[in-house]
Amino acid sequence: MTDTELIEKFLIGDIGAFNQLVWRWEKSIFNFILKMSGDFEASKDICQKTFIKAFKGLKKLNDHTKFKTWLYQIAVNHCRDEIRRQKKHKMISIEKLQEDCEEGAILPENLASDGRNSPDFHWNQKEIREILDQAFERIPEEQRLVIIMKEYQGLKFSEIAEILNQSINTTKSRMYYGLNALRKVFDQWDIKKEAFEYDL
Amino acid sequence: MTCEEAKNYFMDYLYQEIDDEGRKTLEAHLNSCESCRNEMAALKNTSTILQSYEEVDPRLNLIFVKESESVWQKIREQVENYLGSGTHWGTRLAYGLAIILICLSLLNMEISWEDGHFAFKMSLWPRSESTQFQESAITKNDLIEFQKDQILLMNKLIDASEAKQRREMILTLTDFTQEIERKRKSDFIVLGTSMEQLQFQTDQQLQLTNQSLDGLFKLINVQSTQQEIRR
Repeated sequence: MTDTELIEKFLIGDIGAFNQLVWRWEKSIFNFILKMSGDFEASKDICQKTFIKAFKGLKKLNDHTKFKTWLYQIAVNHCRDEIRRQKKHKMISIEKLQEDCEEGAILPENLASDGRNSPDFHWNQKEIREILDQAFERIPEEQRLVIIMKEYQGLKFSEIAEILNQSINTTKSRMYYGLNALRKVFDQWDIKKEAFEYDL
Repeated sequence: MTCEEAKNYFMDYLYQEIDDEGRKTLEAHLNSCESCRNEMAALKNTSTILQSYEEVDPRLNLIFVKESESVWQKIREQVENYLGSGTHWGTRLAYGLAIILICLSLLNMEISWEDGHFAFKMSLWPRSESTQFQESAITKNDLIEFQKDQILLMNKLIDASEAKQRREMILTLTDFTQEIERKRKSDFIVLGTSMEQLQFQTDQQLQLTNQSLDGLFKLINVQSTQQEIRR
């Protein structure tokens, strides 16, 4: 059953149809929020809030074919609130700020392993998540949003533009500059593509 | 195609949102421009690194259930459906005022101006002269009388409680005594039955003994008779 069909069933009183929508989109929305916020527990809360808001507001959605972009809009708004909240409460030492300014981005100490230069070296999944979360924090929020939606959520540029209420050219431009910014971070940390590749 | 123009297509090319004509043109440029070729390779590298971030299964187990609506919510929904989203704000205001007036008349609300302020009175049925009462000041004697009544009431309650407790205790003791009596009788019966059984067993033993002795005496008599005959 398509999203549109499930929405129509829900609107005539079938709450099970809404639950099916939730189970279909839960993982995607959660992973998007997790990459944006970097906090697993906070992401669970934000994900719940997103679906609760969708539950309450779905009858006001006129074009049911836009459900996906509408749902992501709700998630983006909640993520922005969370990021603002995190920024308010985050304590950063003056020494760290100075370091970051002088030397550019620095790879976290726990990940700065000497064995990284070995050709057989591979990061494990936990380390990969940590590295990428930290790298994402170093690029502007708007670029991060576009990169995550494109790389991980598989959204088209036109869909991302609609979600973020911006032009397609702006979206592509932010993608381009975001990828370049991340490349610089990886270069500074001496992060190589080969260390991320697994033999399946 | 210049390098600036080529860069406008980089993202479409990287994420396969480019049309065939655009792809051919861009690839032709990349083949001839090392700088753009290197930049495209670097962007692809970055994208590959990002792809290594695996998805997590949150296992939120979210389930939505239907909330039971209160009567007020149902009425509100019905009114909203009736008015509709396209109704003019003036119409809604008029309906709202009409509802308020109806409610006021049902509640027999009386609004008057007294001593420099508004006074509100209301009741659910029409007021009659006999139901009205006059307020009067409470005196010290009234308070003392009230206190006396309270004390009398408390004493009555305490007495009633004590009487109830006594009755319950008597009932309990009576039951207990009857139970003891019943057990005593039962014990005697058991005892009596045991004595009877014992007596019966004893009689049986004696009978057996008598029979044995009779047999023995007969044997002795027979032997002595035989001895006499031999002599």
